[in-house]
Amino acid sequence: FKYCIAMDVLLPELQHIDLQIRLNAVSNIGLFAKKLGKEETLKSLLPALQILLSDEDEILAALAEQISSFPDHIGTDNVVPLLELLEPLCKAEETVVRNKATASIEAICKFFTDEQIQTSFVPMLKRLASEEWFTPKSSACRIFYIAFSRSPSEVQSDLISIYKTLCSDETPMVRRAAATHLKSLIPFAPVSMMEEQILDCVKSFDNDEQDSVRLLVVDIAIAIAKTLTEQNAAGLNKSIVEPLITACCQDKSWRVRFMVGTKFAELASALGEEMTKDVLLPFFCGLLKDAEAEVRMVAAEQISRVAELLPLETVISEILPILKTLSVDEAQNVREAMAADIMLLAKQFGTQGTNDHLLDLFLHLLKDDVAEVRLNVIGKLDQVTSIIGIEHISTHLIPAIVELAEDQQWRVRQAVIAFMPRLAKQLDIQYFNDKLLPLCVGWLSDSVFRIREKAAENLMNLVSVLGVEYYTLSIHPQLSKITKSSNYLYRMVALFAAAKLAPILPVEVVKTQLTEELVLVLVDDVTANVRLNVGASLDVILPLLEGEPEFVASKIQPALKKLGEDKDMDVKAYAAVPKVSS
Amino acid sequence: IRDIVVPALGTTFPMESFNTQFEKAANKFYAESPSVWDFSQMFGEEDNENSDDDSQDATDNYISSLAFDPQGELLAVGYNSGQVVVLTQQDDWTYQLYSEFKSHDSEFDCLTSTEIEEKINMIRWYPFQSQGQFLMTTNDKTIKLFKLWNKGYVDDTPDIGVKQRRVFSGAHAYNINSISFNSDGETFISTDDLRINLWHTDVSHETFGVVDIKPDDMEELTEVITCSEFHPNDCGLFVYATSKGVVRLCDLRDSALCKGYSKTFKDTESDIGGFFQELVTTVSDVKWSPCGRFLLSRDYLTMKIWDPRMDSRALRTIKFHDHLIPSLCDLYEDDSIFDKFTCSWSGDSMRIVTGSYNGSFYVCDAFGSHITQMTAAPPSAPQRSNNILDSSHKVLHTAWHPSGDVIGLGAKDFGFLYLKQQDDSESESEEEEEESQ
Repeated sequence: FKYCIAMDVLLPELQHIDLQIRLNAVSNIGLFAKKLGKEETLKSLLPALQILLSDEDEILAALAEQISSFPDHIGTDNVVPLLELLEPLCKAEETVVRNKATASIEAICKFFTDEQIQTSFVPMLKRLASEEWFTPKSSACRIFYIAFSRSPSEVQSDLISIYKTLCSDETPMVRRAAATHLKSLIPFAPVSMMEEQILDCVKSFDNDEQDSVRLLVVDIAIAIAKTLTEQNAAGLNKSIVEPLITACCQDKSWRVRFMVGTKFAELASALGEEMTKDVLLPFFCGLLKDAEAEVRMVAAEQISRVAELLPLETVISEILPILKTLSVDEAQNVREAMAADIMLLAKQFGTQGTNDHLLDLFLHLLKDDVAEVRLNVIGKLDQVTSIIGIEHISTHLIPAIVELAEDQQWRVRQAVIAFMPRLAKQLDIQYFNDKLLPLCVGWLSDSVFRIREKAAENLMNLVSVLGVEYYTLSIHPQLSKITKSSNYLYRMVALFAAAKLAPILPVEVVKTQLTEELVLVLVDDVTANVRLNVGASLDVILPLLEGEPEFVASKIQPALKKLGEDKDMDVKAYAAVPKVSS
Repeated sequence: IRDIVVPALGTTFPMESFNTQFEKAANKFYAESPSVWDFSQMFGEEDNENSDDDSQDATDNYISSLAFDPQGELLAVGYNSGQVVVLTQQDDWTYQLYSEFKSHDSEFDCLTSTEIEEKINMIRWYPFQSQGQFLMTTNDKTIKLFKLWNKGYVDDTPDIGVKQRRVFSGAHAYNINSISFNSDGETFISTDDLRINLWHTDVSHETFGVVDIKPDDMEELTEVITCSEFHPNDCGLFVYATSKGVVRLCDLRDSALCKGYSKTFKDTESDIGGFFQELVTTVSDVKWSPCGRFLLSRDYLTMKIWDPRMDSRALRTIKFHDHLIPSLCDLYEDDSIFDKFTCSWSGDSMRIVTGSYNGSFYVCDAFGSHITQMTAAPPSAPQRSNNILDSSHKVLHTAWHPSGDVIGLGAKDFGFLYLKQQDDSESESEEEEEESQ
């Protein structure tokens, strides 16, 4: 009988003294259930799994996770019995276990009928919410929305008063959980409840003595604003949401103000343009001038998105002056954040506005002491050049790039390399070749390997942007020159480049310029590392030359044969890799 | 006009350097609740069976920390050997063994070629109750979080499980002297000689530096941090004390990076002068009152009560060690002048206890004038002569039950429990000399 054998195998494993064996057994429970079939699972497996509930945390976590897959294995029409295992797991002490248990509950509740929600889920929720310790109460907060979203209004009233008690629990852990998850309930609350019970809950958080609770009010405010707007009750935003935001922006704890800063753009778009201008703007300016650098930094990251919701004259009169102050902020991370974001303002300001008001700011940041600030400007440059064209800034841009290209920190140099293709697209070709191509070539001989590697990649990117002709005219001569370098490390770069470029160039070019002039010339190189890479490069090139059997036979095969008889073992090994199709 | 609020006294009192109203109320309280203490229990390590094993240091069995849990059911005792013993309170207010485990092992630091001792420098209980009890222990370099829970019963006795839950290591270049939980239930600070780190209890791979007093040039080092503590209710406030006799109040809400301090409390009245001045003003322990309104600092010769809102001077200076002043030279010779005595508040924030030499300890009124000196010893022990200063018998560690009148004391390898005499009942001196282990 299938059941006996299966359970007889499983049960001892679940009770084995070795944790790893138990863990392996538990991790396969889902498949086991599938094999057993629905009826046997419900009858024998689920009760048997109860023994695991006093086991170690890793077992509990694995069990909680597995249960979420049970509907797949045993069907979705009666998953209620799974709660018998999940409810105790929601009370577990270790956070990871509780989180997995609540995640599984969320997964299986999709398959509950509305009636099952009322008869099985809601009572479980009430039990968890009235337990003694903070652990099950925190779990209850997480899954509260499931009952709330699927219950009729009388039950909702009942549920919200239970939630209220959780909001004023004596332990900060439960209050934090209640504050974090209130926003999941809000979309399902009728406007009248918003004005009363929900608002009561939020007010208690607003006045909480724990910073970690107060800072959660921001997300709640956003959720309320969004829901009120959706339900055509946006007028209530002023009376309900405004006081909450006021309190947060003026909080003594920088962490709370930081939280507002990170969500400001989201808040502004939830409240709409009018409220942003009338109510939020002074707060935003306050955050940009906050005493704490971390707050100024996150506010600076939001500038362009907030400005979008304001009329241009307001941005110019209110925000622009602050930007000037921020550009000389003593905290480096503030200037970095600002540099990354304000380039996006160009779109709103338009050609004339950018020229008049923003250009000086960009150029100032381009001369900042700190490399990261300058890099952030360059990184978003295309936002600006698409509005005002590149001619205006190129005189300032090029010296800045040249300086960064030779920065002592290799990571800075690496970041500059990444910009090259974009700049190649935007600049006049002659200008690019004049000013920036020498840099690209110089990087091929950088002292840091990563840079040389990136430089080779960069050549491939340039060709993708500028075309095959560009390769033949501008790049190939330089690569050819490098194969004659006295340093073997640089000669190897030619081979990397060839391997990178081969896939995107036409066969003719691959044949003559790449293979003959770059790769094969190094077959007799004095250094084994170089010869070794010849084999590696040929491995990439060979599949691309399938339509050129004579060339392969006359040029490549002899080379491979020669390398195959090389005195160095590694060279021989690499030469053996490329497969010549017969 | 500032006011003093001490919950035990009931109403609020305006303070103008000890307004008579306040003193009257305080004295009334102390009169109605006199402080008479009786020996209750003694516990200590039995003589070593393997006494021919020379490698076992006699000081291994010395108590190095004591802590009552917030619910008042358990007492944790840490030892130089890295062992932690947890006792549980019985109905008759005696303590029995609950659990015992090895918290830390000694390690060898390859970088500095020194041994990291397993001595438990401090034990703190997690402030909130749940299915198990959580306690945090630390040695010089590593902090650990343990869970204790009742697994079931074996022949009527509870089977207590112990599990190491988290290890917080690698964050301190110098020796850790304190750990303290935040009232938010999820963060804590750890303090070494020069730095204080803020941790989250669920995250052991990352910590934030909040205080750093290391000078750029170590030649200029003149001050080290000796202890620190979070405020019992306010999640942003903590204090730390230094070897210069200074207590600093810091507010985490002010700024993100290594902050300056909000307030400084410095001893301005010390009149020893001379060579020993700095040595005796170094603060060995600092504790917030349970009501959160006062600070207690212990230096070598005095205890000081501070109102954090007044930084100009201490609210009260309790001088109970003046008799040591003539002997400071001798105490310096045998290094006793560097002893770190701890101090503790009573649960109602009205009394304080600290240890001393000759095996004695002092229970003082925080706001009244009484100082009761007692000797930690079972009633049957021979009387000690208090005329000669015996600095080898010292009560370094103290702890006061959070809600009851039980004091725990640690003196070398013996621990003592004292109960306050109840006024209504007959004085029941429990003369049990229980050497429980």
